[in-house]
Parts: sequence; structure tokens; C-alpha cells
Amino acid sequence: MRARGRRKTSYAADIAVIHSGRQWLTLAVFIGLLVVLPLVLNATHNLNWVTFLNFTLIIIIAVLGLNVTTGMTGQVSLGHSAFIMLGGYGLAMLTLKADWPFWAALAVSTLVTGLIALIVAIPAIRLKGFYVAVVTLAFFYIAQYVIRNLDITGGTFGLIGIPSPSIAGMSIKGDVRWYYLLLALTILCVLVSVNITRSRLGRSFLAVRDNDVATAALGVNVPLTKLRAFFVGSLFAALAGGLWASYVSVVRLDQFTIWDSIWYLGMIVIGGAGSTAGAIMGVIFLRLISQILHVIGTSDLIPLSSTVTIYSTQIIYGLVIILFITLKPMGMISIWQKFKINYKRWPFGV
Amino acid sequence: MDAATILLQLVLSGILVGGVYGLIGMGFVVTYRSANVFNLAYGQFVMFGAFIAWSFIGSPQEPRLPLPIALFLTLIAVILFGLAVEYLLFRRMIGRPMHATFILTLGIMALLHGAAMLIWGPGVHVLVETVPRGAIHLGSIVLSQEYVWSFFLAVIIALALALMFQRTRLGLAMRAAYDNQVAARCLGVSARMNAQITWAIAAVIATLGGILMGTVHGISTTLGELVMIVLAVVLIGGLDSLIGCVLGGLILAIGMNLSSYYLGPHLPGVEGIFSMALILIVLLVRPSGLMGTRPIERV
Amino acid sequence: MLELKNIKAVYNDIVLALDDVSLTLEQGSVVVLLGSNGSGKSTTLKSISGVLRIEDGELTEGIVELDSHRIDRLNPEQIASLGIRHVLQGRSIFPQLTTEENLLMGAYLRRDRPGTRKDLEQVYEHFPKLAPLHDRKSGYLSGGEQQMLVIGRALMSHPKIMLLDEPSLGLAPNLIGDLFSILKQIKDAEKTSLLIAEQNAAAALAIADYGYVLQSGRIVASGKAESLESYAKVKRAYLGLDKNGAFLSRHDFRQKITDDDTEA
Ligand SMILES: Nc1ncnc2c1ncn2[C@@H]1O[C@H](COP(=O)(O)OP(=O)(O)OP(=O)(O)O)[C@@H](O)[C@H]1O
Ligand SMILES: [Mg+2]
Repeated sequence: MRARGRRKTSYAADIAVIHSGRQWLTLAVFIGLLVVLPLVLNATHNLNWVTFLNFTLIIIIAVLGLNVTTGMTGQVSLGHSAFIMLGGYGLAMLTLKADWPFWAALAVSTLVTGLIALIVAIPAIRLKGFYVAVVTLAFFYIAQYVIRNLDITGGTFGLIGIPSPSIAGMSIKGDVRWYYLLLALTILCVLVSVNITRSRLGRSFLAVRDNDVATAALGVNVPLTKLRAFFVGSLFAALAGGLWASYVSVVRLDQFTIWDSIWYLGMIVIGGAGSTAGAIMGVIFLRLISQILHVIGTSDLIPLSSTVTIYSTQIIYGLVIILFITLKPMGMISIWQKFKINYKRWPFGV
Repeated sequence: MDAATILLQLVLSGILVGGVYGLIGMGFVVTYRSANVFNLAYGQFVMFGAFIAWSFIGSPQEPRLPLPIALFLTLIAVILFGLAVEYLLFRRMIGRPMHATFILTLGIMALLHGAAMLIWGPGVHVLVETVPRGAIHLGSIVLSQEYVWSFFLAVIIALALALMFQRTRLGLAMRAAYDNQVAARCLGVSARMNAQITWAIAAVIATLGGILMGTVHGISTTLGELVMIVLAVVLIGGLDSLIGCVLGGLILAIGMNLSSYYLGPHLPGVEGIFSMALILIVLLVRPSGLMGTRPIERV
Repeated sequence: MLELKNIKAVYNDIVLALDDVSLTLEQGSVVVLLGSNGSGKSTTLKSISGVLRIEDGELTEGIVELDSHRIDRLNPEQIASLGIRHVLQGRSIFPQLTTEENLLMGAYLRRDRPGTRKDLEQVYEHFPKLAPLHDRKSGYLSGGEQQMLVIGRALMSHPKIMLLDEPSLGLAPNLIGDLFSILKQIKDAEKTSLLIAEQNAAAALAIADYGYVLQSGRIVASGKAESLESYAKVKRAYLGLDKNGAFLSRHDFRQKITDDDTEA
């Protein structure tokens, strides 16, 4: 059997996202599958699967952001849910109260959330480790408090009737149209995320995560890098929040809980912190768990009340996070990479 | 009631609650100091401990075991719980970065919360009367007896704990290991035993705090949310100081009382956010808190 | 008797710090380890006390035996309970504890209170400077005082074997002599074996029975203290010079020439 070693002769070739014609082909087939997926699911009248896919795509966008802040730069943020919330409320308020067009509202609410994240990051960047988590946690509760007590945000009732976007005169209504919009945006975000990793910016993020002090000695401006990480991370979050609000056409406080912040962190850990592919895997893994429990719970086989389903999901999420962090700290991506390396080096692999 | 009496009333009841907060905070401080874990699951420890106690003690309608026996069994159960947490989870995290341990505590938090919800449900469980209830009148100031009792119990437990750390061989060894783990091990302090004792102590303190809180408010899964209060208490006090913890508890509870009374009418629920704001201020102004040790700089 | 047999120590799976080191410490004897910076002195002591493993290092070959029992798989705390005290390099005090609490930690494994008190007095006798400072947070002691403190702390347990890593570091020249004479006293009185890693070759050799010279993780010379003392190679290895005398300062260069002359 032929050994599969492959040498790279330049740095550009080494960091290239796509290395070979065969990978292009695989990618094309994969995206093709994603495109026909809702048609297949539609045919079997399982519409809730498309809803599931849509939420998964929204969460992938959000978690790609947290992957920048926490995964790449090592700033453990418990405030991600709050940034998503701000994105959602921003869009809702601009479209409903100021009658802005959807896309302009989305862009502005995303940017403004980014700016708010910068303010939150200021106390956070002076401190290390879990202090950052505490600051972002406090921010989460303060943001919730403010929204609950303002009139313009609809208080505890939230805002309803958030408009859908339209593209080239076609209004995005219904699960399937949303699916294609979200898929396109997700692919865009994945591209951005992958390119961040390959850029100078991404390398400074990783350097800060791995060692503050040494990185500063190398001339990287550590506080500035952390600020950038928070800014970029919250842009993804706010984008996801805006899409979420419009997709379900309401924003309410209970859509954005501290548990969600925890799950997002868990998804990153499970996938493999710092890796775009890992983040996506982590999201899909946890989402599938909850969906499977949901399907079981609503089936005739083992009917479970919705509260039982919710808390069983919580238990299993907790267990999965615990197991990965104790046993597989580098996440699913490390398992995959090991497999890939062994495959490539066959028959010389370890 | 005139303004001065109201103020006094607010401060006094704040002190009573603050003592209990301070005690609960100590369990957090202990694991932070000795095991280097920033345990965000600590609120769930409090809640779990309280429920375990409730399972042995029972409710007024349905009392189970006599109080001393029930408390003893609770103690054994939560010590085992603490040891299990150490043995199964935190022992594996030695030498791992602190944020990894931190995220592990988030997983534990989810696991314990979900489990408690399934086992005990979301309702409030009332505990058998462990201390006398009713109001105490001091002039025009009214304090409730169970608060006074839980305050004094908290103070006694806190003092015992402080004595343990300051005056016993074990306490000395634990403080030494916090200062310089390698040197302590070279003198024969067992790192493993240290960790086990630490987690057992944390679980016991959490449970005692949970029982005291449960005596006043009843026991429910929302006790887990105490972790936000605990965070404020320990950050104000300085993460690694037991005395700071008591101070933090008092400051926080009095502050919450005052803000609730004076600002509450304009900003409903402001006391909940008061602790968050205080956390941010402390972290901005003095990250090591009021009493936390700052490293001794020497060349 | 403590014996190291052909040990090889590696840090982080890649840094080779000791290669094929063998060494014997007879009961009641004093052995010095000489060598330049990074030659592996501390690593040798750490592989005996078990500290090596908690610093992400491991012994990949060879064994360590105490009275013919293998001890190289034990934890530092287990090794401590066998009567071996490792005084770590660089004043490894408990900075938030007082001087006296630091000393009491030295007696952690003992349970007799009166004995502990007596030993406390004795340490204050050996190091009179510490007595008035007994209530002070040790983090605020001067460097030299801290050095006395850690040695005093090790004495509190009456160890069978003391591993001292650069005990003279940071002490004033007149105190270095005192320190070594105290160590000699203790060794004579209690039959403690001492294994001393030192940069200050002259002072250490003065009380030693035997010595080893380490260079880049290997033993390059060994012998009776007296013979090592006159051994020019000691100085060369200890100063970190290669055979051609590269990196010599002018003063050292002159020194070397004289040494070489006497050698010839
Ligand atoms: N924890 C560690 N991790 C990696 N390498 C280490 C570690 N400790 C020591 N080393 C390396 O092992 C080698 C021997 O170090 P060691 O500390 O034993 O030297 P030493 O003779 O005590 O030097 P000094 O006189 O400076 O104290 C050095 O090259 C050092 O860089
Ligand atoms: Mg050394």
C-alpha cells in the first residue's frame, strides 16, 4: 500500500485552508448536501428538524465569536449570552421603534454591541483568568436588569413582531428560506473565523492565550489584543442575536440565560478551544444531544414531561463538559486530528 | 418610625444576614486557597447540602429523624460528597490551567442543578423548626429570631474555623501549603490529604450555610443562585481571607438592605444588581479586595 | 545509606538534565556536589526528594535507593517521612507565615510538643538572629535571614539526611563560614548525612568528606574532599569554562594560568 506522506514547500501552502483538489471536491459535496438537506427533511414532513438546523446555525455563528474571545485568546467570558441578547434587542428596537430597514438595523446593532463589549472588556483586560469571567458574569446580570426595567425594551414582556429581512425583494419567511439565509451567513462567518486564525491578529490572540508575559516581551500589546478579541467575539454574538430575534420575531429576557453562556463555553471546550472546526463540532454535538432527548421525550416510547427533558439535558450537558475537560481537554478536534494524521501517514502512523 | 430607627433596623438586620453570607463565603475561600479552584458550582454545593439535610431532618408536617442524628448523618453524607468531588474530579485537574478547572466547575454546576431539579423539583421545601421562630422587639426595632439564631451559629462556626486555621497543626499545614506547595510537601504535608480535607470542609460549610439559609427562607433549588452573593462576598473581602469574608458578607448584606429600602421604590429589584455593581467596583479599584493577601514583593 | 545508580533525569519529556549519574552518601558523611549553573546539581537533589516529578520531570533510567529500598517512585511527602529533608534552592519559605510558624512546619511530621519546643530553642541558638524575629512575617525577613530560616526549619525534624541546595546563597562571606560550621556541628552531634549542592566550593569542601563535580548533567570528577580541593578541574568545571578557557574574564584567566601551573 502507498504511504500517504505529503510535504508542504512554503508557509503559504502550509496555512492554506484547502490543500488539494480532492479537498475542494469533498467541500463541494458537503455544501451540496447542506443545500439539499432541508428538501429531504421537508419531504418527510419533519419540519421541526429544519427549525433545529436553523437554531444550530445561529448558535454556530454565536459560538464562533466566543471561540475568538475564549478559545483563541483565553479570556473566559460568561457574558456571551448577554452580547447575543444585546444584538437581538438592538435589532428589535431599531426596526420596531425607529422603523429602520432590517439590514441597516442589524449592522448598527452589531456594531453598537461591539462597542459595549469594549467597555465591558476594559475592567476585564486588567485582570486575569476567572476575574474576566466574573466581570462578564456581572455584566450579564446588569444588562438583564437594565433591559427588564426600561420601557423601550418592553420590560419583562419583551418586544414582539420583529420583521424578517428581505433579499432582492424576496421576503425571508418560513423555515426553509431562513435556512438558506442562515447557511449562507454561517459559511461567511466560518470563512471569517478561519481567516482570523491564519492572520497576524489570530496569531497575536493565540500568543496572548498561551502566555501573557512572554507575549508582551515580544512586543505584542496584550491589553489591546484582548480588547480586539472581545470586540470581534461580540460582533459574531450580536449578529447571531439579531438573526435569532428576527427568526423567531420576538425578543424576551428568558431567551438569553446564564446557562446558555455556560453551554457556549462547553461547546468550545468539547469541540477543542481555538479551532473553528472544533467550535462547530461542539455546537452540533450538544445540539444533537438536546434534540435526541427532545425526540425521545415527545415519542410514545418513553414519554417525558418537558421539565424532565430540560433537566436531563442539563445533567447530560454538565456530564459531557466534565468528561471532556477531565479526559479529553483538547476536545473532539484532537480526536479527529489524530485520526487524520494516522490516516495520512499510513502505514507509518503511530 | 423615624429615619434613624429605620436606618438602624436596616443595618441590624443586614448584619444578621451578612454573618450567614460570610460563613457561606468561607467554604468558597477554602477551596480557592487550598485547592486553587474558583468554584462556581459552590452555590449548588449549598443547595445540595441543604437538601441532603432536609432529607434526613424532614419537614414540619413530616419530620424524619431526631435533629442530632439527622445532623450527624448529614455531616457524614456531605463529607463523603466532598471527598467524592475531590477524588473523581479535581484530583485529575492538578497541574492543569486554572481556567480549565473553572470550566469544570461550570459543568459540575449544571450537573448538580439538573439533578436537584429532577430529584426535589422546583418547589420550596420547609425545614423542621431547627431554631425558635418569632419576632424579637428591641424598642421599635423588630428582628426575627431565626435570623438572630442563624447569625450566632454562623459566628460560632466561623470562629471555630478561624481557630482551626490559626491554632492547629492541620491549619498551619494548610496555610503553609497555600503559601508554598512544594516546600510544604518537602516537609511531609501530603498534598492529597490536604485536598481531601479541603473539599470536605468546603462541603460541610456549604451545608451548614444551606441549613441556616433554609431555616430562614425554606429550601429550594434557587439556593444555587447564592453563588452570585458568594462571589460578591469573597471578592469584596479578598479571595483568600476568612476575616475578609465576614467583612464582605456584612458590607454586602447591609448594602443590599439599604439599597433595597432607599432605591428600591424607584428601581425595583435593585438589591440584586447591587452585588454585581459592587463586584465591578471592587475589581476595578482593588482587585485583591479589602483583606486579600497581595504577594510580598522582595528581591 | 543513600545511593543513586545511573540515573537519567528528563524535564518535560525533552530536556535532558542528568545523564548516567551515580552517587553514594554514607550515613553520617558530608558530600558536596559542585558544578556551574545548569549543570544539574538541583536536579540531582530533586530526583532524590521526589520534587523532580512535581516539576514535570522524571527519571527515565536508573534508581535511587535508601538503605537498599527503592525510593524513586515516591512522592515528596513520602520521602520526607523517611527522614530526608530537601532544602530547596532560593529561600523557599512560607512568606505569609511568621518565622516561628515556618520553623514549626519543620516539625510537621513530629507529634511531641516538648521536643518541638526544645528544638525551637536550639534553632534560635544556632541562628540567634532569628530569635527576635520569631513573630515577624517571614516574607519580610532579609534574604540571609530567610536562608537561615529554611535551614533551621529542616533541622527541626532531626533528619537522617539533609539535601541542601546552595545553602550559602545570599549570605555575607563571614556568615558562610558560620553556616558551614553549624552544619558540621549538627552532623557530628546527630550523625546526619549531608548532601550539599554548592557554588562556593572552598567553603563546602572544607567540611566535606567526598565530592562530585557535575558538568552538563554528567559527573566529570569525584574524589575525597582534600584531593578535589587541589584539583584544578573543580574550578574549571565550577566556573563553567571549556578546555580552551573560552569566556574567561581577565581575572579568572590569570587564576587559571596559576592553577594550570600548579597542576603541571
Ligand atoms: N523545571 C524545569 N523544566 C525544564 N528544564 C529544567 C527545569 N529545571 C531545570 N531545568 C534544566 O535542567 C538543567 C539542570 O538544571 P539544575 O537546576 O539542576 O542546575 P543547577 O546545577 O542547580 O544550576 P544552578 O547552579 O543555576 O542552580 C538546566 O539546563 C535547566 O535549564
Ligand atoms: Mg540549582
